Amino acid sequence: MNPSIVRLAVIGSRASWGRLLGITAGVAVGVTLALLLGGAYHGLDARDERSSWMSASGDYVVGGDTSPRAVTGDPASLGNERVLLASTTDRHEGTRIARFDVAAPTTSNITIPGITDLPQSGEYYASPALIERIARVPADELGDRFGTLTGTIGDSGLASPESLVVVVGATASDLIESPTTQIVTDFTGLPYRANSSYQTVAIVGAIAVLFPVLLLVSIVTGLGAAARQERFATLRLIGATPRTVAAIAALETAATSLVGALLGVLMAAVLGPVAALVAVDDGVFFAADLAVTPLTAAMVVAMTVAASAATAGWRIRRAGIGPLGQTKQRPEKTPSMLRLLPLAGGLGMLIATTLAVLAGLPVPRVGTLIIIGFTITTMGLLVAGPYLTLIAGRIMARRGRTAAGIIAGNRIRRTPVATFRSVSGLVVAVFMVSVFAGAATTADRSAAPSVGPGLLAVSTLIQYLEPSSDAPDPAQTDAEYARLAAIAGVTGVVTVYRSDSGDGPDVGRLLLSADAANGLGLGAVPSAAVVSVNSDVLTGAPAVFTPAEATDVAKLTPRILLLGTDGSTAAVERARTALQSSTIFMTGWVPAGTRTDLADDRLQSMAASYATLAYLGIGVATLIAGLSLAIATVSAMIDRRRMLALLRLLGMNLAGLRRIITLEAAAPLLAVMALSVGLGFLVANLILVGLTNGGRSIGWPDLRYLGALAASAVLALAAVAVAASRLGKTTDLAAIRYE
Amino acid sequence: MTALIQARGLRKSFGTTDALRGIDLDIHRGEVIAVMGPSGSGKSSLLHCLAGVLVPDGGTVIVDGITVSALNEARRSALRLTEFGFVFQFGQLLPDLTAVDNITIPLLLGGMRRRQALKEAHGWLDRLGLETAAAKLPGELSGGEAQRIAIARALVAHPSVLFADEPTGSLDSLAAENVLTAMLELVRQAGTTLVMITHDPRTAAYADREIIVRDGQLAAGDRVGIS
Repeated sequence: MNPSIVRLAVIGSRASWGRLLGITAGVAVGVTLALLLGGAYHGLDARDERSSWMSASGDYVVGGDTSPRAVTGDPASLGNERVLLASTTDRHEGTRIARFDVAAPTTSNITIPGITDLPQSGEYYASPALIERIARVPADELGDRFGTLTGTIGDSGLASPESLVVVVGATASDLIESPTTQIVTDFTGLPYRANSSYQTVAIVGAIAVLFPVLLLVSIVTGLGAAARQERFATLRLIGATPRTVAAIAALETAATSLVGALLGVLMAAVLGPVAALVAVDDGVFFAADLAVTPLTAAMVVAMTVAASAATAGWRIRRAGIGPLGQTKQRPEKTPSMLRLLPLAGGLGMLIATTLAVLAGLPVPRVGTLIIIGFTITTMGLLVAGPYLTLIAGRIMARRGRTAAGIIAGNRIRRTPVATFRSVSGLVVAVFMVSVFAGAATTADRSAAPSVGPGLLAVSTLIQYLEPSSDAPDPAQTDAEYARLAAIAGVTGVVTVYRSDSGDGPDVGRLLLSADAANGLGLGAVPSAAVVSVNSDVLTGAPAVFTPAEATDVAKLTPRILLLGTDGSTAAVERARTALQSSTIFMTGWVPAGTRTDLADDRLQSMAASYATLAYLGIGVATLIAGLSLAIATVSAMIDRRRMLALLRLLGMNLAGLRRIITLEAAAPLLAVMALSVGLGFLVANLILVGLTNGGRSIGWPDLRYLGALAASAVLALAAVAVAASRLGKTTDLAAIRYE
Repeated sequence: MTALIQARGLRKSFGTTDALRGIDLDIHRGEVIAVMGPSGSGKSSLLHCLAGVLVPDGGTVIVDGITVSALNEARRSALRLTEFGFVFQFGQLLPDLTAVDNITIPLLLGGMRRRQALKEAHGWLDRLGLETAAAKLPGELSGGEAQRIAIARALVAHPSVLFADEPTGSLDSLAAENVLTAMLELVRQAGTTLVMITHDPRTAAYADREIIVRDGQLAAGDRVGIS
């Protein structure tokens, strides 16, 4: 091909340069985002892999089948290939700390990632973030819980630089009686992401985020198509074959996309460390987590260039450009009602699965069926979009009262596929956020602990006590109570018992002395030496006291210790630390917690745990979709500048033109977005009901959702407004010649 | 008699090219003017300056007492909507709208209700014998039909002046004859002023007056006062 022809065809004018710059910038943004998203996906896997040792498990010592192994309080009984492990979740100032108590002989061959030697009794290893936190606060609020710091857990054992992890050394006798203790032979756990359901959801999520990126690249490479077609028509006039112009178009797009894609790789490398600072789930990323391998980058570049070039060539061939311009109008094929079928199929699958579950029918692989149904519904929404856009256009065209409404309605009616394409990114983002927000409402409803008269204070620490084989020395117990009561900020220490008998009215209730009950300030206490109270008072139910059958608490076994505090964080943490360093109360190895902590535990569902990730992904998708919408709007304006200028010539002012442009974007957006919201909540409800056997259903969405929805709408409007602000220049009558 | 359009000392340049080099012209109400001249002589620039599409670099255009060249774009838009109609050689119909909807646009822009606008538009289609084309898209119309629809749209809001730039230039002679006849009949009936650019002497023959533009100036006989 003659290079001069290519040069003429590609860079013939200032407008061409603008178009090429636009394509380059758009592809660069798209590739940057694709690489960052790929990096994030890889990063989440990498951090999951590194922290998988924390899910290591083995046989429980208490109640487990340990007899053949003959584990005793003697460390030597473990040998060098086994350790005792008690893993719990500790807390400090509302933040969770992963705590691992291990007992192993010094000669143990077992290792934990990030640690050279297992700690011995009195020693501990901590993550850098925890070490920093320990140094920041008084020892009696945190540091005293663990012993002597002997080392730092390396990055290879941590999910994030912000992870709070501690590995505490213990003696075998310390752990042997704890019901949480397991015999572990290997600290190799199963990564959470190995779960097939998670993988499927992750793939669906990745598609949802990648879709707007691909859309962006597709839209920018079509920038200024009309102007380009005019130039290609000139080439055809002077003898170029259809194959030649298609090849020139492909070559032009390939070269532009290559520059854009390489810029994208550069931008991704620069922005990677910044993106690593976004906290997801376990905290921020290590910069290396988000790094993309050169091979992946090369593949993304190659695929972008190849796909862009092929599409450009195909578009030109399909446009049928002859020597006198586009030889024939290629009206869009009118979308038929059949496009609703995949959507109906996906919804039908979800509804059928849910109904079958509710009816108690044996449904194999409910989770998989629901995920497949969800995926089909998402794809179905994209397939149905043009048809729904067509309907919205028809209604607008028929019912329009203004010139702008009628023109916009007819435009939508004639080009529903192209119109929907420009808003489809936002539609998918809104659908996804609606499903997620709907599913998350279940967790949110039980998130905040209630407060009020008759309810246990949210700052009261609850320490469960496990029965010990050795009865504690009463004198030592009294001394320990006195020590706890003397802690600054602790307002009371109450021992709670359970009935030891297997029947009677007090079974399942909590027992305590009437004096202690009065001290809790939970309402009327009957006059009896010992009273009972409903056990769910610990989880936030109002207290109802009744006289107990037992008459002397001294004959009962202590099961729970309640430490009232003045509500200050320091007092709660001091009390928590004191409880953990106590030798008589820690037989259960379950750290004390408040009702607030309990509520936080409830939030650790998969949906809640990945809330940040989901909202972040949706935010990114919305931003890209908004950008795509702006570019698509500008592109449509440039391609129709003659028609828009004609309207100005007829006397339509710029405000009227802006109304047309806005309506063309807003009408399908609002119509299909409303459907997306409705469908999103319906799908969320079906998923929840199906997965929980009808145990859960959705509630009202939280403010974050409404914020996300409002942000999407504002972004869409802003995108269109920014694009429409160019209308004056684009349709400048002096720049357009009518003949 | 005071002229409906008065142009004085009109100058317009595009880069280093002087399209109009001081044109003085009076056009009276109801007059049919044919503007002729070789390609690149400045005919279209003159028409566009008279219609407020282009702002002249020098000189004034006064239409019915209003100095068009001094108006801002919004006021010029309003003037084009109420006082002017336009017909071009081709490609002037909105491609997504049916013929009847195309005709309603000026009426809707003027604030008329759609039902009434459609009634008016159908009336024009009827007058032009195009009732069967009402629901067709521009791409489905013949060249002659499209031009007659464009004329109906240009005249539907009863403008004072119709500017036509080679309105029959893309048509065969029979279609051109039909279109021209229809246009002239309509403007004569309504008393509308017609300023029409044409290369065709036969078309120009229908006009009350011919003016010739050469090198951005009117030919000697076409100056102000000689009409």
